[in-house]
Amino acid sequence: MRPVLLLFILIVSFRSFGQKAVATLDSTEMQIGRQINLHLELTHPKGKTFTWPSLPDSIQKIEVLKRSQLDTSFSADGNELTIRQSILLTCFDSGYYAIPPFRFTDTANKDSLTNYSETAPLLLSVFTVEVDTTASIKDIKPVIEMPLTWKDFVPYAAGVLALGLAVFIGILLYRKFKKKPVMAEKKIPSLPAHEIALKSLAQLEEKKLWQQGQIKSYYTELTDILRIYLDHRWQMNAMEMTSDEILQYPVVYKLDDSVKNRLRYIFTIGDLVKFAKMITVPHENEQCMMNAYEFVNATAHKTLADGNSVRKEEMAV
Amino acid sequence: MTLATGNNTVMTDIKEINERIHHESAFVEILHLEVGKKIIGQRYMLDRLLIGLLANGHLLLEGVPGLAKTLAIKSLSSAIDARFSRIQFTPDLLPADLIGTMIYNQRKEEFTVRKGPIFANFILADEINRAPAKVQSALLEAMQEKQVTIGEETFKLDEPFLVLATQNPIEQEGTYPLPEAQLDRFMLKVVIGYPNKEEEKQIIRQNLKSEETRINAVLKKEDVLRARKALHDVYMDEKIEHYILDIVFATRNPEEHKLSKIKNLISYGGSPRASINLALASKAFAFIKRRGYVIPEDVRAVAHDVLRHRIGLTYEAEAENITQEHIVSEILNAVEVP
Repeated sequence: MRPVLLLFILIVSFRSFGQKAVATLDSTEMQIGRQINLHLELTHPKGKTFTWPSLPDSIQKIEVLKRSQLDTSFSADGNELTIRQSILLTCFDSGYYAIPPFRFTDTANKDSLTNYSETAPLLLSVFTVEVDTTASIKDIKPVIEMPLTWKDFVPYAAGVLALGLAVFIGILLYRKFKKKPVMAEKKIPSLPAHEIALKSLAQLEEKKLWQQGQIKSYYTELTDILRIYLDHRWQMNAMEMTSDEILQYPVVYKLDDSVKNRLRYIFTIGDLVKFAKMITVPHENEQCMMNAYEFVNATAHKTLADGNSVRKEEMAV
Repeated sequence: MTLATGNNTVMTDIKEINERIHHESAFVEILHLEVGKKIIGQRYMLDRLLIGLLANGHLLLEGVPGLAKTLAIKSLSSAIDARFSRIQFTPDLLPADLIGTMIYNQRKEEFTVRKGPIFANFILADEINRAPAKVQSALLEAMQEKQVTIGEETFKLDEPFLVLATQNPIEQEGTYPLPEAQLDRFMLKVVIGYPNKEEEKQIIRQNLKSEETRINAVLKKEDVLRARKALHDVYMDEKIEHYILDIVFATRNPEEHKLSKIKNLISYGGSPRASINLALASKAFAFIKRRGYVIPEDVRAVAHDVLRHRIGLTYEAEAENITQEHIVSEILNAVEVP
C-alpha cells in the first residue's frame, strides 16, 4: 500500500507544480582566459510566475561577463512557458569550480516549502596552458592590422613638411650667418713672386730715394717689397706681421741662416730707420738693397708661376 | 737690438734717448730677479704690473684663485720699498671702510680723520666685483683723481699709486659686475693663466722649503717716479701712432679695415682713452724691454691687455661664443703693420 501512496503523491505533486529548472554549460572544461556560456532554462505551467535568480558578478573565481536578455517561448499546446538566459563566463585561475544550483521561486506561494525549483550544481574545470620555457615569449594573438585611411598619413605628411621647412630655414640662416673667411682669398699674381719683387726692387733703385735724403721712405718701400714678396711666395700675411713675427714664421725660420740673416739685417735697419729716426750711411743702404736682391734670388728658384704649384710647394716646405 | 749697428751709422738724438732709457731701465731686470725669488713664472703678469707702475695706470687682473696675484703685488711692493694694502671686497663693504672716516675724539672733543687702507702705494682690491657699486665707484674715483676727500678735507694719495683689482672669472653669483665706464678706467685688463708644469714644479719646491724667502727692497719710490719721467722720453714715431689709431679705429669701424665680418659682433669700440693707454702701454713695454723707441711689436704685445675690456660685444657675438680676445686678434691680423 505504501509504494502506491508514494507514487500517487509524486504524480500529484508533478501535476500540481509542473515546473522544471535546468542549467547547462557549453562544456565542462575550459582553457584559462577563454569564455564559456552557462544556459539557464525554466519551464513552468502557464499562469505561474517565478522569481529569476539574480546572478552575482562572480561565482568564486569565475567572472560573469555578459548576461543575455530573457528569452520566452510557449510549448506547442500553449500550456507551458519556457524562459531561457545565457550567461557568458570566464576564469583566469585554473582549477575545479562548482557552480551552485540556481533557485527559481514561485511568487504565488512564497511560504510554501515546495514553491521553488532548483537547477543541478555544475562543475567547471579550468585548465591552464602548458608553458614551453625553451621557446621565446610571443603574443597570444597577432596584432590586428587595421585598414589604412588617409588620416593615418596626416602625421607623416606633416612631419615631412616640417622637416622640409626646417631645412629651408636652416639653409637661409646658414647663408645669412655663414662665416666669411678672415682674410679675402689671395689672388695669385700672374707673374711669379720673385719676378714682381725683382722688378719692384729695380724700380725702387731707380727712384734714388736715399740719395735724395728720403731714407725713411726708402726703407718703408724696401721692407714693403719684401713683405709683399713673402706674402706671394708663402701666402703668409706678411703685411700684417711685425719683423719679429716674419722672422719667426716657420717657413722663414727654416731657411738657411745665411739667407735668413740677410732678411734680418734689412728688417733691423728698416725698423730703426722707420721707428727710431736712425739715419743710415750710403753703404748700409746699398747693403740692404743687395741683401734684398740676394734674399729674393736665394728663395726664388722654387717659385712657380702656377698658383697651385706654389701651394703644393708651400706645403712641402 | 740697439741703435749701434755699425761705425758708419750717423747717430741722432734718438741714440742719446736710447742710451738713457737703457740706463734708466736697468732696474727692471733687478726687480724681476728679486720678485722672481718668490714668484715663479708669471713673467707676463709681472711685466704688466710694471707697465701699470711705469705708465701710471691701474690693472684689472682676472684669473682663477691661487695664481699668485696677491703674492705678486705684495712682492713687488716689498721690492720697491712701498706701502702695500690689501682690501677684500665684500658685499657689506662701505666706502668709509676703504677711504677712511671721521672719528670723534672724546678727549680732544673734536673729529679726527682716520685714513682708510687706500692710503698706500700698492692697493690690491681683491674681488672688486663682490662689493656694491658705491664702494667700487669710491675706489675708481680715487684711482682717477689720485686724491680722497674725508669730511671736508682732501688728501692727495701718495705716489706711486697703483691699484690692482682682481676679478674671479668663476662664481659670478651675487657679484656686481663693473660697468663699462668704470672698466675703461683700468689701463690694462690682464688675464692670467696657469703656470706650466716646470714652473709648477718649482712652485711646489719653493713652498716646501723650510726657510722663508725674503724679498729685499731693491728700488725706492723715487726711482719709480724717475723712471716714469723717463718713460715720456721714449720715442714714438708717427708711423706707430698711425698703427695705434688704425687698431683702435678698427674696433669702432671694422668695415673700414676689411673686417666687415666682425662688424656685427662689436656693439662699441675703444674710446680715445684706449688710444692713449695703448700708446702709453706700448711705451712702457718698450721701456721694460730697455729700448728708447717703440716698435710695432710693443703695440701688439699690449694690445690685448689694453683693448679686451674696452670692446663691447653684441648678443650675436655672445651667442657664437666670440670673445673680445677673438676680436682683438682679428683686428691685429688685419691691420697692416708699418
